[in-house]
Amino acid sequence: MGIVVLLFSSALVSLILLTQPDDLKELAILLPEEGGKSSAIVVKSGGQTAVVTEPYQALELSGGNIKERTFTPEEIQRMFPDLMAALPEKPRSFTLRFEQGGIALAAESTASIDDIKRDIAKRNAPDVTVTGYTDRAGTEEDNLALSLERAKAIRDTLIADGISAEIISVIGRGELDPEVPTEDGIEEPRNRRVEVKIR
Amino acid sequence: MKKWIKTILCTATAVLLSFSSAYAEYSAGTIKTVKGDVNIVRNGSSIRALPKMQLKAMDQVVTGSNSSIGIVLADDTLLAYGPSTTSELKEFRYDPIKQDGNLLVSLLKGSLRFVTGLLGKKDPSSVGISLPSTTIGARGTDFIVSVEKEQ
Repeated sequence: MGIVVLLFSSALVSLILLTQPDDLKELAILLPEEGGKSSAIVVKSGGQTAVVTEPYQALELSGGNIKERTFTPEEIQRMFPDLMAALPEKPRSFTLRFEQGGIALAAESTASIDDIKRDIAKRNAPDVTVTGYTDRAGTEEDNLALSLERAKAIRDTLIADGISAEIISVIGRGELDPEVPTEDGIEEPRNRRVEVKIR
Repeated sequence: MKKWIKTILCTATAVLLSFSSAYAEYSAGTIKTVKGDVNIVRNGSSIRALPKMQLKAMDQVVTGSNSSIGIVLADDTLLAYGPSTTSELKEFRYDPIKQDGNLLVSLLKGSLRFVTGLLGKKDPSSVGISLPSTTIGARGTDFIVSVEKEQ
């Protein structure tokens, strides 16, 4: 009976040892947010939870322990030079506005097409997403279709101006996410818009 | 075929095509830059990573030493991977009209910089990063994670 217990417990110990992960060190470092906006990372490991909320604060996990650390921007640059250089450029959005009920660009938006072309030309491997929106005058279904038509009209303008059709995708979001929320049925020129997002 | 049936079929096809053109580019993300030796492992096959390549959910990114890669996901999440990294896009669903879905990236070894996109901005709980013994949730934001053997 004693031998069975011994064999069982050594088997159990071996099992525990075999299932231990490699000795790994895991690190999570919070970086500053644009405009100094607040941000946080929440780290959960082996039943423990830890949070950091200040830029350059970090949590290091090793041997089942969570330790708080701080790094300087220079240290981070030294530790991760290739990583820091590899982050893609931030997307940039342009908003174009329309006359009520159709696909004619409002006067103030015609100059933006040139800005859009310039931004596309500056990027390597660019892609363009054209997203149409409407105000709440009209039915939701009609507005979903109208918003897609607006997006396609801008896409066609970009193609006519030499941008490759392959890199452009179009989406209609209808009445969703208005710039200026209104009651149903209300005209609001600021919501009749197309967003051209370049990445 | 009766004229009205034809009209209905044409309209239905047009509507379906217009929706599908919105989804036609439904890939999980696009490679923007590659430095050095990087491969994408998909369904057991290894493909050389090149800029403009489209990525899919379940793709694994493997970078060699002195190598790195920059990727933009469909929801505008920015990813950068450093050298000697193995990472998988374990889950990625994104509806560009509703701007919802979920994203789970795993980092087995190496380093990753993650800048939250629309999924993380609209619903932070829909985005996660998993390391061998840790999961990370983010509010915001811009952060680095790394996994290395203890020295």
